[in-house]
Amino acid sequence: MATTLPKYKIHPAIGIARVGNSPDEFYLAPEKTGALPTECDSQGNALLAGDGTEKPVTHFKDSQGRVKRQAARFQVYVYDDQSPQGRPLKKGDMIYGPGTSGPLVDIEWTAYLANKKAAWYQFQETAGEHGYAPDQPLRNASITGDDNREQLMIDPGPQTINCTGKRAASFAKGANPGQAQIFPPPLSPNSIDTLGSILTDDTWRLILLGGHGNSGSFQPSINGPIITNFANNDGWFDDISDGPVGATLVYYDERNTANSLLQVNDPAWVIVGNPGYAPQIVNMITLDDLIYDLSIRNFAYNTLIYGTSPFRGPHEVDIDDENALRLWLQAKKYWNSDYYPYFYRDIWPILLRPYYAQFVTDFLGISHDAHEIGAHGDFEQSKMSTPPVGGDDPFYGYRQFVYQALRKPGQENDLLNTADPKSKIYLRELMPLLCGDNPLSNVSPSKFLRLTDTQLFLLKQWADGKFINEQMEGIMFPAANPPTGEDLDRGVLGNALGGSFCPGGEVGWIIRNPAIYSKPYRIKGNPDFLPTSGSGHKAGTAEFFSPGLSQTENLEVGLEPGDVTKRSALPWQADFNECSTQPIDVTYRDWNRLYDTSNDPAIADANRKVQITLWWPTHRPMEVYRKSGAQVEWARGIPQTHAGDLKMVTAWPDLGFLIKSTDPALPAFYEVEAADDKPAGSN
Amino acid sequence: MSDNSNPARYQRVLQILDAAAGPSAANYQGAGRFWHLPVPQLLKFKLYGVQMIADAGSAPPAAPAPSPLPVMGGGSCCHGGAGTPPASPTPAPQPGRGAASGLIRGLRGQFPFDGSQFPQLPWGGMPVAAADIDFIEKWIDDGCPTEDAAPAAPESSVKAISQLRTSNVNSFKASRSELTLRRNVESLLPDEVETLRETFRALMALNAWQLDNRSYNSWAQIHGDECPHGWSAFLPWHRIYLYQFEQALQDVTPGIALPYWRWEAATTEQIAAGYVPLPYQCFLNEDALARLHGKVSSSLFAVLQNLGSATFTSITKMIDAIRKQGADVTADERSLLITELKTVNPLWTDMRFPGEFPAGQWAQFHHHYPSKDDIDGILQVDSWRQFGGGLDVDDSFGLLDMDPHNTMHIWAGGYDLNDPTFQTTGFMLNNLTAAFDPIFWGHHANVDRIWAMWQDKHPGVDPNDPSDILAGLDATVADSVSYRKLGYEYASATYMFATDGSREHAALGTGDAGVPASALQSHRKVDLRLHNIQQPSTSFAVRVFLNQPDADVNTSIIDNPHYVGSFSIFGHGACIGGPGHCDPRPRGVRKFDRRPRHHNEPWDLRIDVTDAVKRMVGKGESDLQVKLVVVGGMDIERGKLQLEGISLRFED
Repeated sequence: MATTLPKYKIHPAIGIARVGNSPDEFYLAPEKTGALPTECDSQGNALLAGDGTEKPVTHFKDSQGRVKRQAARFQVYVYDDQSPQGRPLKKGDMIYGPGTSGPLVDIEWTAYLANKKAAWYQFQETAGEHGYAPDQPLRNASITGDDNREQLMIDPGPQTINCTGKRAASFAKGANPGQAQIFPPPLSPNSIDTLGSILTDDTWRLILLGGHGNSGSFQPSINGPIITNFANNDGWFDDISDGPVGATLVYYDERNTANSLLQVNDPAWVIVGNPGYAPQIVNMITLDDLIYDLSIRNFAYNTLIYGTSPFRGPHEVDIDDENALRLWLQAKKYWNSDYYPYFYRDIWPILLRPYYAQFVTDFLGISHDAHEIGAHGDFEQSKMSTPPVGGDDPFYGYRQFVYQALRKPGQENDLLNTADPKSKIYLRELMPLLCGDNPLSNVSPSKFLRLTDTQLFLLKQWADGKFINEQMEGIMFPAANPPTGEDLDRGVLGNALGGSFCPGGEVGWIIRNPAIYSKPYRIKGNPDFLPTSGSGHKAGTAEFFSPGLSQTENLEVGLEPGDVTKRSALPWQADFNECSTQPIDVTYRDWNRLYDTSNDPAIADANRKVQITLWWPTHRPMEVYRKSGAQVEWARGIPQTHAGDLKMVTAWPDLGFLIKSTDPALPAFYEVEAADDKPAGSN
Repeated sequence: MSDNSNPARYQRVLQILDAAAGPSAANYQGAGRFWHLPVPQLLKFKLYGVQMIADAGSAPPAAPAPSPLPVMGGGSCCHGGAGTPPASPTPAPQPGRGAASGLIRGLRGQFPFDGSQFPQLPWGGMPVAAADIDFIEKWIDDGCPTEDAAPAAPESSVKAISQLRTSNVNSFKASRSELTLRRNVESLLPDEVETLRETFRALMALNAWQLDNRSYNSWAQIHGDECPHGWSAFLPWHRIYLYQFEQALQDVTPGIALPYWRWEAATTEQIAAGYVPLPYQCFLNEDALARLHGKVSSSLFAVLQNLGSATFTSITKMIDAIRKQGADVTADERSLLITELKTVNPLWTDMRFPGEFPAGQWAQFHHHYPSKDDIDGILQVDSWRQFGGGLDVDDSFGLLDMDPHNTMHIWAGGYDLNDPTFQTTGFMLNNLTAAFDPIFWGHHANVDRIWAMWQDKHPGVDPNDPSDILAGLDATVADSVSYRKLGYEYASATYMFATDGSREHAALGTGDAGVPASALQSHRKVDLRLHNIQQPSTSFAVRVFLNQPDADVNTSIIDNPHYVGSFSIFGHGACIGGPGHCDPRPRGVRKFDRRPRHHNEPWDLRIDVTDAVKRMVGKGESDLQVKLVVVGGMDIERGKLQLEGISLRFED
């Protein structure tokens, strides 16, 4: 018997599902950064290779060329004296509740997806990140009154299933008689009658599927619906969603000879996003990078990297202890200048990302320098990886060059490095040369992207020579098998976009607000939307009723279903299409928009400086290689116009996926399964 | 040196580490198998910033406080017929240089080699067996010798008695809840001074948090805000203030004590030169020079290199010396230099100009400097009012407060003679800033020591306002009256031998204590102390001899100048209780255990040997040895004396 009660937590803390128009076929979300998704059967059981590892997916589309959905997979981990790092909970394991114990006989999983986009405020760049102004316009502002506006939400209600009898449920219209569901009226071009479904696999994990990528409007123009904006389109709905995922452990209480219920200590959250077209090419800033940084700075996630001095270890603060965290937050904290990152674990993965960008954009068309990692490349691996040895540091200058080229805090509106005339990169572009959170409006502009504080800290240590090349030192970091809960939290989010947010990929800027978290990586959900120990339901009946969704927001109480994605573009396809390149006006540091009618006529077009800048080509590829080696436009035939946005609403399943080559004769990454490949589905 | 056929310990250390490394080609930051570096280089080698062999005198960063808990055997009762040997308290092991070394922490997989920053050592190899790690730790504790010492004496005699380095005496005493010794700062060994500096550095590092009341500045500020001078509360307030600050030091370094600065010992020449004891003077070391390289002019750097680790009493004196060697010092260079000097020696401050006064009124000030005769005179005073000061309703300065204390504040503070306006004075010169100069603590420890000596000469003559509050310290005058209850006493120096408390002795002799001639010639008093004598069941007497190692029961005690005296031990008799009845309770285990002493609590014994030492010096002896001889008892052959330590304590 454990001396303290074990803690039960769902991992990953945030799961990523993705839409697909295939009615039945799906695969499982990748659980490592830059990994392919996992092949599975119709109940969500991962298919295994001969060596027992889970098989990567081989086809992203079904036999009719329709995009398969990506399921988010969740599992319960137990943390106790035996496994302080946690281990997956298995059927039959002893469960220790307050005063009772017994073997696990079932897990009841509850999920609640919703879409609140059409009922929320318009997306206007950074406006609202620190609270909406009273005059912030709503979407569908012509529809007034709470009861009318409530109908702008998609609310299928919660669903609960278990792992023994009832192993599937749907978030479809009519599938939840115990709830006052809300679904949109018939839409064009595609109606929405479901937000997805849930299953349990044979090892009692939850498999959650999102929508089918359907978007449509009930407001036709002369020739069907139109799109007028990249982010806000009245009359439109999509089937993106998000919401909480809870689990109730059912165990046979040996003392009372009856089943007993125990809620897990930490429920999870799921976010449904657009398809991941280039799963093996990692974003410059992943959602894991962002939340890792946020957790390090706000939740004592790694007190060896950032914390109070002296540094005594990575886990100086118990993340389950709110008071300890509060004291830590009040203390003076530092980045540990004696921290030594590991080159291949911490540094090289970041440096490879600019190199990989050449496979999703015509890099040489915008720069002579594709950040090559071979001989004479500016990211030459042998130079980047060699630490100072015996006081001799021949590659110090090379590393400093890379670090000095990085955009630092406060330089978000600077195109060029003007800080230090003695620097080798004086008057050259700061990196990454990607769009920031607001290159559009004049309200708190943020023209260009910069790396997170933690990424910059790690790279600074490296540039200064404080790093370890683990290959030189015979040090290995074998992956845990099965992965730890922390591995899942981080690995899953490593495949989602962590910036920039205008409004963003799977999520927007709300995800970097510490107030929406209860702990590192854990979104604080409003407790009313999951079963709680006090809700009085009995084992096996799985009845749970929740209140209606709110049209306002209270971060102190917690997020409701739909609250993470409600700020994102509506429909998602519009912003996805337009987030290709952006002409950023860099004439003045603090202004994005200049008006010819202003009192500054000298600054006519002739003097205006504009930098055509990529948004996030890894998330939304620009130019790609075909297997033949030919470089082609990825979204060919879909223009960067509102008409193109409308076309993307139905054309996204035609786009190709990118896979990593295993054959050196082929391009390192090439496109497969594009609709114009014949026959469909062949490489 | 040794013809021992076993490989030297150093060779064995290399073998252990090579075997564990196996075929690993770990690079160790370019050094390869760094343990093969020549030992002088190994001593300085840092692996990714972690020093592999700690500097001498180091203690592990996260070492637990020494346990005051002797290990107790179960079930035995006294020394009667139970058949089992008596349970014996054994000293808790003191964490040392080996345990503080990165190599040992790395081999054991302790932070930062616990996987959080680095994996366990050796990288890419096999873990080293615990016993082998202990072997390497001991080798480091012994100073990483490359050759073995002469063959050790038989183990039994080594264990029976062994001399403790003076730096370990306070750890020994702390582990047994004995009074800590505050020693003359000039008698501290170099590693003790370094430990003191490390401890001050730790408190000064907390200065970064303005609101952290553990920080050095926070302590110093209390003095500026609260200290009473010029009336009776002066001595009690400062005693409690020093006690509380010493507790803060002990939070960092268990067993450490404040040293005292015995200013009255200064010679006329020293006074003229502005002398303060060496631990308080400033100097550069190689690391500091390396940091200054390139930041100061090359001519200045050359002079600094030439000066090496020469010491100076003030920044003014140091810059004078630099200028004499032909280099100039700019204002920026001066401040760079000061930063480094303070880093090297946190016991020094640039705001101290001892004995440096402008010409004119201050010119003859050194005539006020207190002498030993002045102190002897003050010690003759027999009223508290005259010695310590009057009550606040009828205030008057005490002699100790006004003259030596105030005078030494002024003398130690002095003036920055480079400031032509004479507006810049040393911290010690000003009541508000005095404690910001670390010499403050040495100065006030000496003031407190003089009060302690006076108290010992005038038992019962104490401040007559015991319930008065000492402002800002959460204590009353009554709390200050017994310095022993505050856990310390004073000694100019001490020489201690640890003995194996589990053995019974019929006779016990120490080797030479290593007392320097200066201490033999000049002291006020010498105590012989026997530590933790265990209660025997039978009665016997013990005779004490100095410098007569062959003394035995037949040695004459009549007219024998070596004979110091004797003491008798009153046996407890057979145990009348059940198992464990006669085992002393471990001391200080439970916070709320306020029962009286156990009937078999071990005792300490103090014998004043001042006269006997004087006789030895008169005979021309150059060192001291102690011999204890047991007389009588039921079983003379076996003897009954059991104790844990013998020490000689000098007062000056």
